[in-house]
Amino acid sequence: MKLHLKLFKIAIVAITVLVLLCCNTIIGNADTTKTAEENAKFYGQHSDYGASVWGVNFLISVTYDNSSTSCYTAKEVYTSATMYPKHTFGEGDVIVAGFDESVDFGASTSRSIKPTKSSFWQIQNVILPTGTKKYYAYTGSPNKDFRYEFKEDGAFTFAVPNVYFAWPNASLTISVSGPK
Amino acid sequence: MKKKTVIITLICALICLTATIIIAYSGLPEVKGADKFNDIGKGKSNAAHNLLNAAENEETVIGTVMGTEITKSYFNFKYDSYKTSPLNYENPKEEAWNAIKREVWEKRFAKEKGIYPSEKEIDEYVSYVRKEYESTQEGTILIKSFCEGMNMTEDEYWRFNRKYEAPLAVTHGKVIEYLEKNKMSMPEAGSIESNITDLEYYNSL
Repeated sequence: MKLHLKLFKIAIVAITVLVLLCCNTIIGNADTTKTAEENAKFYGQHSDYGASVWGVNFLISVTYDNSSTSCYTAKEVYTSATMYPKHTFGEGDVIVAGFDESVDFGASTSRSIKPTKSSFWQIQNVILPTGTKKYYAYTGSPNKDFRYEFKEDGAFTFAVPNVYFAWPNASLTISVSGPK
Repeated sequence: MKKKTVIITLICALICLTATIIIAYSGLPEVKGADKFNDIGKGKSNAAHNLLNAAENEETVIGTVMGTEITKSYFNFKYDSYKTSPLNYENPKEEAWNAIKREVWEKRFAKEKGIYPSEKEIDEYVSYVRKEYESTQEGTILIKSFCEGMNMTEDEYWRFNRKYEAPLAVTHGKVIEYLEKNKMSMPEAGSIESNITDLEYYNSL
């Protein structure tokens, strides 16, 4: 009986240690995601259809490993541009899009999306609500360490044939602070 | 002494007036493109009002597209839209005529395929666009500036849009969707049957 009790106590301690170890591992390697979004409204005058508007949602998220105390690692960047509800005469519209990526305030790397797609970006399949128009949805893996800041600075220009836009530009920036 | 007091008072009043004007104007937010929106409105204002005022029995025809008579007031509105557009069309008269040809073709095609928009669909489109404009300060200023150029109140403009512009936009969207789904394409404007019957008038523009 005493032996059983002893074994039971040992098992409880072992399980507790195991759980704590697992938690530590999970917490220690946790990836964190930061997201930035911009719903840009492009107001235009169509030569045939008059006052028109397009609402485009630009999104970017950065998934990074923040387990280290000396530097973090930017592992994945996801970006998309969608329009909801889909515009009734939104065919043929064009977005010029791209991000400038920089680490710790250093020189930036161009991550062009449209019209030329940089090889950095891979197509990401996403499920969107019915009636949503998808311009693009891409992911990329920068795998860059940073101590102070990881930044993606996006610039977009929107165009539709026969439409004069009051302001065809939009921007979106995401900045992830490092451990320092 | 009295004269000096009067001058000082006048200078103070002038300074106060200038400051008030500066504060009042700096309070108005500047919206990029608002002046161009106003110019677009001005550019087609006369033709839009003529179109609204044209009595059907007094209308004269400029030509036909697929057998449909095109009135001069409608053509003039289209022509002014293209001619005064900041997009600077190279040949606005031809663009306007081609736009009318595409409109007639799309309307005919939509009716044949049973996809011509209902009144409800057009109403929803207009109220959506209007709501989107009114949902931001930028949009509110832009549409106000455009309507001032058009010499219309906002209500008047949206009624005009509902009658002459929105049905074309919704029809176009539905036709494009149908064509894409059925892997079809729209004919070139040049191949759509049309005839300018009053060439003298057309050339005089």
